[in-house]
Amino acid sequence: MNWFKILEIMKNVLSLILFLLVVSSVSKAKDNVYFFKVDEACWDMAYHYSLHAAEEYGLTGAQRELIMEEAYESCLEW
Amino acid sequence: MVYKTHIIVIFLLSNIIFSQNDIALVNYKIIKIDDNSSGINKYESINDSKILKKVKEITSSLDDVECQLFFDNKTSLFKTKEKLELNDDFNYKMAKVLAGGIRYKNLNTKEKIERRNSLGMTVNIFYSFDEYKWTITNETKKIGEYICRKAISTKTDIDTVKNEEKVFNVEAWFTNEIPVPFGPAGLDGLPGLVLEASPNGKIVFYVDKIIFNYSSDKKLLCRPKGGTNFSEKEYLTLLQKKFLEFKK
Repeated sequence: MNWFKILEIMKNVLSLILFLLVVSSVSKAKDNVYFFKVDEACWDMAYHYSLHAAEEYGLTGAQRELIMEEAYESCLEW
Repeated sequence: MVYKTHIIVIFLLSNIIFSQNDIALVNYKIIKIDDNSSGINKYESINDSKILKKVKEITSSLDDVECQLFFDNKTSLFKTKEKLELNDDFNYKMAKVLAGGIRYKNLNTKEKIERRNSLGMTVNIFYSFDEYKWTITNETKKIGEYICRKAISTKTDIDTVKNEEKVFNVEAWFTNEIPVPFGPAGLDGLPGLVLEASPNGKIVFYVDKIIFNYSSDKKLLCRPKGGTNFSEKEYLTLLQKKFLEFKK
């Protein structure tokens, strides 16, 4: 009888561990996808922003690059 | 004898007074030339009107950007005035980029340096001392109390997006009444102080006020120390390389 109870508890504990592992990996995967999306979106925004700025204000290559860097960093903070 | 001594004392005093505050300050502001362009032309793939609207907001922050040119008879230093309260303002940060980095020019050593933070480091870009080959025209106009003459030039840059050369038309108004070869944002090398100038036909630096005998503090004209040195060509090549890496 005791053995049966012990096995039952172990089964529950294992199920719980499995469940936690699954939840953790799903959450990590979600985090990675989210980070990737933000990163890409910011680069895209910063790139187009710098192109518009270059057209609008006659920026040199160096100034456009600075604008892009600043826009990208600001986007990550938003 | 007493009379002669007085004259010598007055002469020495006047020398001391003039040499005490021999650094002048010129304040410049920036305005955007209204060209009525839609902004969507060369880059056909760009059609995000929200981004364009955000870009146009920089114009309203240009008014907050104050540029300062310090100079004596041999050296000049151009920079934007620090405004700590606006340092976190996105449009202000962008507007400051238009003014360029710190520009140092020394007539004795024939150096023309721009210092800026770029590519995650502090860089010193060494320009040719005669960066602009000016053509002085006969056109004149009065700016404040000074008669100014127009000079034109071109500046070749690299379009890092298209990987090709881009030529800017440069215009400067200088006055012989202040005979120093200095000006804003590296727009210099003329036989008089530049009071108004456009590096590209899109924005204009214009003089706001001039204070002669502003200071005697030589630190205002300090040559940039530290940082990584590049020639203009080396720096542009590095930028191109960085952009190509980004495209991959």
